[in-house]
Amino acid sequence: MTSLVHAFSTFDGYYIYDTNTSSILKVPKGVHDNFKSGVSIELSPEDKRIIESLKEYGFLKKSNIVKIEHPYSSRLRSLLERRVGSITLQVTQRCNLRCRYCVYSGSYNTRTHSNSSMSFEVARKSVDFLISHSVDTDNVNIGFYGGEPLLEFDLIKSTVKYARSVGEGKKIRFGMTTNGTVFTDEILGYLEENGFNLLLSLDGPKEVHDKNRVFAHDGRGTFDIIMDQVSHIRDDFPELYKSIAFNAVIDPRLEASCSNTFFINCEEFENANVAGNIIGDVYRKKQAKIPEKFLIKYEEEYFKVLMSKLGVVSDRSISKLVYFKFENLLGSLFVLRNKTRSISPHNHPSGPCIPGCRKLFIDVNGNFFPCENASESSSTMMIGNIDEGFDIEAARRILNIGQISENQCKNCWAFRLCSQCAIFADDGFCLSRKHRLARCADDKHGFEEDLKDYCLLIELGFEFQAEINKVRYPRGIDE
Amino acid sequence: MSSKTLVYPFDQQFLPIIETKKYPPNLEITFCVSPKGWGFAGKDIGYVAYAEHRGIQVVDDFEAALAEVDVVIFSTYQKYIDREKSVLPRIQKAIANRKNIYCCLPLSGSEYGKFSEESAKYGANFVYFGNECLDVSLPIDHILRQKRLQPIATPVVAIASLTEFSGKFSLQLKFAQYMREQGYKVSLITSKSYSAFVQEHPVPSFLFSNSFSELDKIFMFNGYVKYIQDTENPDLIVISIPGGLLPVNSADSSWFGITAYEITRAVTPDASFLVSYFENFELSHIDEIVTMFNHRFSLNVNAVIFNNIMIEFAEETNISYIDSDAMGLGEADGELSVPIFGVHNINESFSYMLSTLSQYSDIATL
Repeated sequence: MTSLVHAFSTFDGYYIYDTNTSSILKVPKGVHDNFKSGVSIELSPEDKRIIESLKEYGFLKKSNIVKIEHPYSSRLRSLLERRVGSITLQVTQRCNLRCRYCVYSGSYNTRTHSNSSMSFEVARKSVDFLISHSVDTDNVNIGFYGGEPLLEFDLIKSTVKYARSVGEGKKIRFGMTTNGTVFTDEILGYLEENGFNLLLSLDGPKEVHDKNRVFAHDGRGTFDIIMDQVSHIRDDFPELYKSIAFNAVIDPRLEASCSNTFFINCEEFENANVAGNIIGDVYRKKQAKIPEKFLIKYEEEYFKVLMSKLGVVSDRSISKLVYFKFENLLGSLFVLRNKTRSISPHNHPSGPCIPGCRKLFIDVNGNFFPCENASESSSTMMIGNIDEGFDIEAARRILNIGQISENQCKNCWAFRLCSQCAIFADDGFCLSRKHRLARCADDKHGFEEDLKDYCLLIELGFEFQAEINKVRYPRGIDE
Repeated sequence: MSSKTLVYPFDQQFLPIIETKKYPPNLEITFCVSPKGWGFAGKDIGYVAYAEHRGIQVVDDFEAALAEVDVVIFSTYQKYIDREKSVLPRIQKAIANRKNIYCCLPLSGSEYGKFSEESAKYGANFVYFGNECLDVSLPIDHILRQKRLQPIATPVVAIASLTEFSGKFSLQLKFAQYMREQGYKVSLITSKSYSAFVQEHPVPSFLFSNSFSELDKIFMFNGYVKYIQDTENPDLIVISIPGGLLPVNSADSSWFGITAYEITRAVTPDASFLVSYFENFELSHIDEIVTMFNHRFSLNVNAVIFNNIMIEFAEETNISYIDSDAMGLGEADGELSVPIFGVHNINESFSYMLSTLSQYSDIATL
């Protein structure tokens, strides 16, 4: 059995990622080559000594995993009974837009637009369910989702009022994902007064945004209306403005969609929180090939982000839409990379959240799904309903998704970097091993690139802890 | 005749006091009231810690319960509640309704003054336990002049935990109760500020004061235990060590075990319980930390207790209670140098400790 490691190199160094300890080791070229090639090569005495020394200190061990089982699997019942932290209510499936990439557009095996809306009865039961299933957490979130949730503004108001009436002793936060086209001053005042966090969809400048985000009744672009609203909110509802995050969907068919500096140069977005997501391919009926031109542009933009971290490129010339990739790297390789002595024999690859605890999605009919990204038409992803509660065994299957590819996962060097949850294995009928494994090569390539970028930044003098301090203490630690 | 009593706001902090009946004997706990948002209403009080049923249901209507009782206990609490909006006005309301009040909640000087004054005005009895204070008159000057450790001849059992929030308070009350039921006279030094309410001694506040050097604190704590020994003449002294023994990560220090180090310099425990939250630790790791605590703190760990508590060490420490059946502790039986117990067989750990202490008594050293 070989060591559970992965060798990689930058232009200036040779490294081994040691999965058991979650450590990144700088090594001589000969040691790197030995593990990179997969076959034993002639080693110099010095390289041999270094390998023996690393082994002596607990590195380069083989996989210790005998069974794929999530550490929270046995405690799942307790967690779902006492620690549900968030619900997302699909208050309606109606929408006044017909965005061309929307999961409701008919291009996906997930859901389609309909006139269905949630009854207050289901909303009230959902709030009661949250309160009675969150006894071990002080903070809970109630999110409103659609369709366009503001088409059910009265239902939202009734639900918030009810949650406040039963929520003494909880810190309740409200949130909403909205297309931003149906705001009125009454709505904006209400959202501000109740401390809502908004996720507002805006893809970029007019020529990018209006390609996809259009009204249902006349196909007109929505950019101008949204920008008017954003300016209005900034000027007249400043507290609400602070709680808006902008979500831009990046369409690879539009080369410029990832490169624009719109969110940096436009004064409406000064200090705004912006995230970019490439159009999802999960559950998509026809897989669309991403054009090479787009990939090159995307990598170029990301390269500029890394250069900005080294002070070579100005912060103002990078794309905020690509910035999230650096934040992911910071999170996975610096903040969350806990070094340990080994992986316990019963363990599970990283990736799945605890289904139902993190972001329980409740559809218009009261059915439960792990989150809003799960397919509502897939019975595999349904984990219960508002009348009967959780289906613990369904949730356990989703949590232990790695069991369908046990042999591959046990010996995978990316065991602790994996980001695949059950959604990626859902073929609409069952959790498919083939679906899950189909993504592995691309994912592992991405992890290797992240490892290289991480080491390269350090080689060039970047300090990750200083970056964290900058985010945590924007005015300096002493303040 | 006992007085009908309401406890507010009720959560896992007060549960061990009811479980061990450590409230004044003239009280009958009739209502345990929690805010609606805590989600406990209609459930048995044991549910707050996923523990055994106790036959009292939690309710969420404070005002309705208030109308039916003579006494209100305002308890400390671990969960979130808006103190200004939800707790202080209810103390005021209880006073205005002429109830007798036991207040274990820490109050500011002005709050205490206001409630005392209001109580006098309405004829309510307001008894305050919120400030930790020594219930003994320590000859501090003498101790500090002498700077010499006094021998403690009484057997001492320490209760220490890996981290904070591991469920030590519950264990110490239950162990003291068990030993008393066996006929032993026990002096208990608890880690709670309202120890006087449960008729025990507090860990003295000088341990956390900036007015004394760390060296002085060690001599003073030694003097404190000696004083308790000499005045109470117990068969056993149980000391609960506040804080944790080990830092969890760079953000959660668990006080670096500093208090534990000082206490164990002042008094060398004869035996100890190590209390921990539940985690899938490797068995060899438990053996290693037991050895380490012996070297670092002179703690001879005789039993490890895993509480049915899960802790997520994120920016904010999160605690969840889990079903003790899901812990699978039996699998570790016999594989460790120290026995492991869980909440389901906690009494076995107490009898094990008693037999260990009894064996010590076979060895007489003078």
